[in-house]
Order: sequence, then structure tokens, then C-alpha cells
Amino acid sequence: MTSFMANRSSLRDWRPIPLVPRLTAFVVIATASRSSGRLIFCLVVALIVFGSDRAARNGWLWIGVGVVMSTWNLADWVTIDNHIVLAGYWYLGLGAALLSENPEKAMAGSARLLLGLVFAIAVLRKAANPEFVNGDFFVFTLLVDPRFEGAASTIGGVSDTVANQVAVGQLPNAVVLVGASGIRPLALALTWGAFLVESSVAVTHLLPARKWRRAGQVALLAFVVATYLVVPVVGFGAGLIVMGAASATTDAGRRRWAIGFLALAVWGYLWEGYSL
Amino acid sequence: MQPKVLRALAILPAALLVAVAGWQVVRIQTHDQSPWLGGGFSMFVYVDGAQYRPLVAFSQEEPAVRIPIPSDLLGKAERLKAAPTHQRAARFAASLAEGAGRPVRVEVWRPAFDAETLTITAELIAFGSSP
Repeated sequence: MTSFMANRSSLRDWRPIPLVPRLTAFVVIATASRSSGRLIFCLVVALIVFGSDRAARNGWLWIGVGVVMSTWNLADWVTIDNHIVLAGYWYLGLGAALLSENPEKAMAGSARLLLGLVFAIAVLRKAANPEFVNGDFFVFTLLVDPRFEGAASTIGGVSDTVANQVAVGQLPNAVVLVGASGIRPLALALTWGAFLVESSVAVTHLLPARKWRRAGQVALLAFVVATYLVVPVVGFGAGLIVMGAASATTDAGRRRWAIGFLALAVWGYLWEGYSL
Repeated sequence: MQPKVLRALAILPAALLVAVAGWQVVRIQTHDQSPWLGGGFSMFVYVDGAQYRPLVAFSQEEPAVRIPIPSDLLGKAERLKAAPTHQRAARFAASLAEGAGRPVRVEVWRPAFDAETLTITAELIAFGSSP
């Protein structure tokens, strides 16, 4: 055990490797909560990665994790959250990158491609849905989703968000929600804010020129802060932050993502009940 | 490792991402699959999330009584709401009937929202009964 742990470099090592594989091990744990078998597997992977740099930079280990997790995902496909699916892709991408001649460059490229595609698909799906484009989706969400309760009452002016959540429980009988005059402007701001930020992330990550890298980091950071400050979905946020760290071009940039990772975990814990 | 194999491995995650997201779009149109789940990255886009789809179970005998979903069937209930079919609803009804000791009918509904009147209505999308 001593020699195993001796293989480990400093926890304040901000180089892409071992930082990104280590952060990825946290994502493995954050997406482990579906079954006890899955939890045990994820804890073993995390222990191995934290215990040994050699294991953390082993591409076959990550490909194995990706194959096992994606196979699990396949069996449970229709009910699985998107961030768990995305994590499976990332393990495979990380593994392939670590097997390449230039792992750091390949890792950054894989992260940028996955991020760009995820956000491009998200923007296209939003643009294709009229109830999102006209703001109705966010009117509904602000009124019934408990995660938006604070925004709905303090900014939107809704007096009784709990009544709306109770009303949803009366479905399939038709129900009428309690609204407020501030909800529609807030919903439109969220709608167009989402379009602006998400399309910025997509474009800056999919454009091949290096000059867009910094803008990409800023756009992703803006998305992470704006989204997870309101709704701290730790599993999704952690995955995005790890890929942000993988595509960062400096140690300082990766350190910022690592701090963001920690802040998200604490914020999610404080929210309790909406984490993971 | 062969460069060709490495290149294929590097492209595989992105290819899977696009393929699964595309397949999910097809499933939403053809099988009423919930847009929020399953790798299509459409969460926070549609009112029709599985979490808002009511699943109602009630006895078929008169007077009809609501049957609560036992905790050991919650996983199956989530699956039924996320990808409802009449066959799956009938199987779920049969599972419920075993515990309830009487014939059960199960219905899955999809919410629709009118933002002008702030009214949520529901449309029946799958149903099934135990034998």
C-alpha cells in the first residue's frame, strides 16, 4: 500500500495529467448512485486513480471504465440522465487521449469536441421547440420546479410557489397555476440568456482556430456559473468542469477549474436534495 | 498501437454522442420517449419531462380506487413514464395487481401547458390493464 501511494504526485499538481484524470475520478463517483454494484465499481476506480499516477494516466483503464459504464448506461438507457451518458463518452475520450503520442493535446481536443457537440445539440433542440423559443417553457419551470423557487419568488414575484408544486401533483386533472407579472420577463431573459451562452460555448469549442480557445473557456465558465449557481446539478457541472480543465491551456486556468469543481461540490451539498 | 485504431478510438465518443442524440430524437417522435432523458441533451427544453408525467393506477372494480405505487416498483414506474407503451403499462398493471390482489388499470399521461391561462392539462399516452 505504501509503495502504491508513493506513486502519487502532489495534490497541487496543476498539469493536465494527473489533474484531469483525478478530477474525472470524482465524476466517476458523482455518477455512481444508481446501484450498489455500480457504486462499488466506481469507488474502486476512484481509489485506484487517486492512489497511483501510473493508473491515472493509463488509457486502457479509462477505456475499460468507459466501456463498463456505457454498457450499464445502455441497459438503463431510457431513464438515464444526460450527464451520466456524457461521462461515459468522456471516459472513452480520456482513455483514447492517454494512449496517443501527445496525451495532453489529444485530451484537450477530445474535451473541446464533446463540449462543442453537447452544446450545439442542446441549442438545436431548443431552437426546434416553439414552447422554448416563446418563453413558455421557462414560465412553466419557474412556476413548478422547486429548484427555481427562489428566482420565481424573489425576482418573478410569485407569492405561493408551494401551491403550484402541489397543483402539479393533481395531474392528470387540469390545474391552474399561481403566476405573477414578473414571471414572463424573467422567463424570456432565461430563454435568451440560455441561447446566447450555450451557442457561444458550442461555436467557440467547435471552431478549430486556437484564437477561440480563451473565448471558449470564458463562455463555458459563464454557463457553469450562471447555471449551477441557480441549479447546482453537481453531476453535470462536475463533468463540464473536468472537460473545461482538460481544454484549458495554462496551469492557472486548470487551477481555476479545480477550485470551481470544489466550489460546486460545496454549493451542491449546501443545497442538499438537489445535488447529484 | 496502430494510428488508425487510435484515430477510431478518438472519434468514437463523439460519434456515439451524435448517434445516441439522433436516435433519441427519433424515439421522442415515434415512442413518446421523455425528451429529458437518454442522452439527447434536451433537458430544460420541454414541459414534457418524465418527472411531470402522471402515472395513475386504479382498481378496475367499481368503485375505482387509486392504487399507490409500492417502493419496489418505483424503478419500473420511472421506466414506464420515460418510455411508455401499452404493453409496458399492461405489464406494470399486472405487477401492481399481484400486490393489490385485484385487477388494476394503469395510465400514463403527458402534460401540456398553456402559458396564457397558466393551465396544465394532460393527454393520455399509454394505458394497460392486468388480466
